[in-house]
Amino acid sequence: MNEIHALVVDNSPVIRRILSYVLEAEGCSVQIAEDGLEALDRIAQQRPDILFTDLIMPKIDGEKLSYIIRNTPELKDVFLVVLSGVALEDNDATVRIGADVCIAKGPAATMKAHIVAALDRFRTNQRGGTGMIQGLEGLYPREVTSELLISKKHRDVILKRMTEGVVELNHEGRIVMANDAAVHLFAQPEARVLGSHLVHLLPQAAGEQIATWMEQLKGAVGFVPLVFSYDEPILMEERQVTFNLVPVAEEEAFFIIGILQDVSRRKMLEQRQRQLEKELQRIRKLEAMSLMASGISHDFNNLLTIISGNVEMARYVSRDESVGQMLGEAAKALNLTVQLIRQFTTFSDNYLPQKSRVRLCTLIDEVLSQDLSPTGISYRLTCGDDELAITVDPNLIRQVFANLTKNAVEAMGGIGGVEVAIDRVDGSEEAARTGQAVPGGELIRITFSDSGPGIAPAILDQVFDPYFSTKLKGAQKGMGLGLTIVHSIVKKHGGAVWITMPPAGGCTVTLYFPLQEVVVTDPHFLTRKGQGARILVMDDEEMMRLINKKMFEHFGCSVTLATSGEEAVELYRQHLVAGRRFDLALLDLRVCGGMGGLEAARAIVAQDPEAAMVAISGDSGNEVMLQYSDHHFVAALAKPFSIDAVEELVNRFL
Amino acid sequence: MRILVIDDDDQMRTLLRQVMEWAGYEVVEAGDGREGMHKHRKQPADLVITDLIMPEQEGLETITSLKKECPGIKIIAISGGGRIGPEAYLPAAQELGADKVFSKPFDVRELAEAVKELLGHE
Repeated sequence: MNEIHALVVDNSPVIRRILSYVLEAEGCSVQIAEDGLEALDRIAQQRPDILFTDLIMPKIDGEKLSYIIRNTPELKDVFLVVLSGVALEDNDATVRIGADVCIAKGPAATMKAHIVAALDRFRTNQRGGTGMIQGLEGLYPREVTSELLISKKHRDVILKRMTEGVVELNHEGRIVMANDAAVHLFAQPEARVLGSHLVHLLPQAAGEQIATWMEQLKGAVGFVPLVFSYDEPILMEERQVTFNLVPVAEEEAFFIIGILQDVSRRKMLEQRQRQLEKELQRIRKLEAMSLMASGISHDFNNLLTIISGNVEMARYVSRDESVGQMLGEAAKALNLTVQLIRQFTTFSDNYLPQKSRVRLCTLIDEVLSQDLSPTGISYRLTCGDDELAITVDPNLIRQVFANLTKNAVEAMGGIGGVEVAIDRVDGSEEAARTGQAVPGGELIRITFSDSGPGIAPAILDQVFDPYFSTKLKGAQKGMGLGLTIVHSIVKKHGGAVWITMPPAGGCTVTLYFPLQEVVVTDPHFLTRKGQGARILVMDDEEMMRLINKKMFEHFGCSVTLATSGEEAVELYRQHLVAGRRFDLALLDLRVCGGMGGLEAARAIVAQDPEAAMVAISGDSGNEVMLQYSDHHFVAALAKPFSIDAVEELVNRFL
Repeated sequence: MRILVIDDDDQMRTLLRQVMEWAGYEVVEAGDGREGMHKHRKQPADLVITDLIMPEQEGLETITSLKKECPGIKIIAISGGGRIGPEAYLPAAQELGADKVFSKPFDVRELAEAVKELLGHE
């Protein structure tokens, strides 16, 4: 038989000497190590056939060492003998560790006999410990030891359950202890983490910083901790981890305790919150603008009709050729003005999308081929599913891609390419991945990339602002509205859009549209204040019902109509039972030949004391109209009422 | 052929009157729906051009009354949109019986064409 290589690991010189003596006498070649860490280095030089280890040792203890051996494929067959000084107090260690033999530390003569016996078991290949501990005779349990062991067990449980990672490094920066959370952060098996240099497990920059710090520690008097704070965490794979490395003096040397915390999720949530706030700000800004745009376009549309009408009339009447020419020029400018105002109305409240089912791939392909063919810029369109169709306003969506294409063409200056990819994604996953405000549910994602020079990061947040333009102003009318319109159209469809600069260069616009038309409830994606609210309108006049319906629908409400008090009461009851209670009920007080609004209100309040009802009447001097709150109504409106009155209702009650 | 023009804007009314007179029609003007109805009852029009958003009586109401009293009457509705936008009002006008709708700003020549077409079919 070949010479047996034995490794003896114990921090007691006496025990090491006894073991060496006995084993060498038995013909073994013996190596020794003072602790688990040193043992790992010896093992790396030469794999032992049999290993004798103490349990309680500094740095890596016997239990961890055994764990590493049993969990490293090339070492797991090493014959493992545990020499325990706490065998009586901790008597299930052999089984826990998977030792082949366990010997209690005791009188030298007894130990010698058991060492030889263990060697015999190795030679005859009797593996798998019996759970029996050799050499217990004449030993008595010590209370202090038991207490220390219990306290260690408590500490181990705490460390194991902690969400923070805890590591202990020796003076060389090697990991001698790592709790489960820390091992998880390093994303490597524990057996590989233990004994490794911490700096080897980290990205280069952080590693170098730690190495420099440790170099300084060696000559230092007072120890200064090294902190990688929340603001500058270490990037480990995809995770952002804060590190707090605290040196602890120990006799001649020192060791280091490191506390690790995975802050990726918190960072992601914060980033998402910031994005949401930014988006909300943008929406508010655009809302104010769209209000103004509505007003402007209304006034301008009137004025422009009169101006252009008179110009046309003048051209018709005038027989003078030069006057006709001048009027022709004026008409051209008027035409441009009209187009500009139209652009405005696109993102004003005035514009209600006219939706239909559209195959996105076809639509985008049409825009790209039409707009890019005269420019010499190539494009590639990748569709995950050619048949993918969504319900959108095709004209608006066409405008989105026309605007993006126009920007890309101008940015690239005639050279380069555009790449568009369309696929299906899950909204929540995208939100988690990107940290952006993406609506939930199934979405269509469109990435529109160009190979232009990109956008400076400093202005990235402003590009959606109206009249923000990097191009020279004045050269072209209507500049600076392109991306504002894109943003507004995407929001009108309950989607999301933003721009990123990919590391490879160029500029990528990412757009999302809901696959299914959904009722949007997240305030960040609401474009209209009354979105999703349920309104009941009871009026016996068909025209009034129709106008009311249109007005409430303008604010995103869903409207149910009733022609009489009886029908209103019944509809209210049905909706209440079905859990789709009306948010507001408008009741006409005077109904020809049926139950009026007042009676209906009494019947409704009997079913639902919280019902929000508005009295409507052509007679504003009516007693119920004047004292509406005495009759279960929350407001009274005199007919005919304007869109402003409806808006006020929406603002107050929805 | 008589055309009733209902609009609360003087300039708009003047323009429409000029255009229609140039096209050879007799024109009656009214500043709102109520006045329009009143004039129509006295001098029935063959075609009414009405704005939709006006004080007193709104255009949609006027259209309904006109169609009720005089089912054969031709109606053209025009709108600059107001708060809701022509996209919301004009379809409502059509549902209520307007034969043609025009969103402001529009080309007066097209309006004249539409009038000719509607009255020519009589």
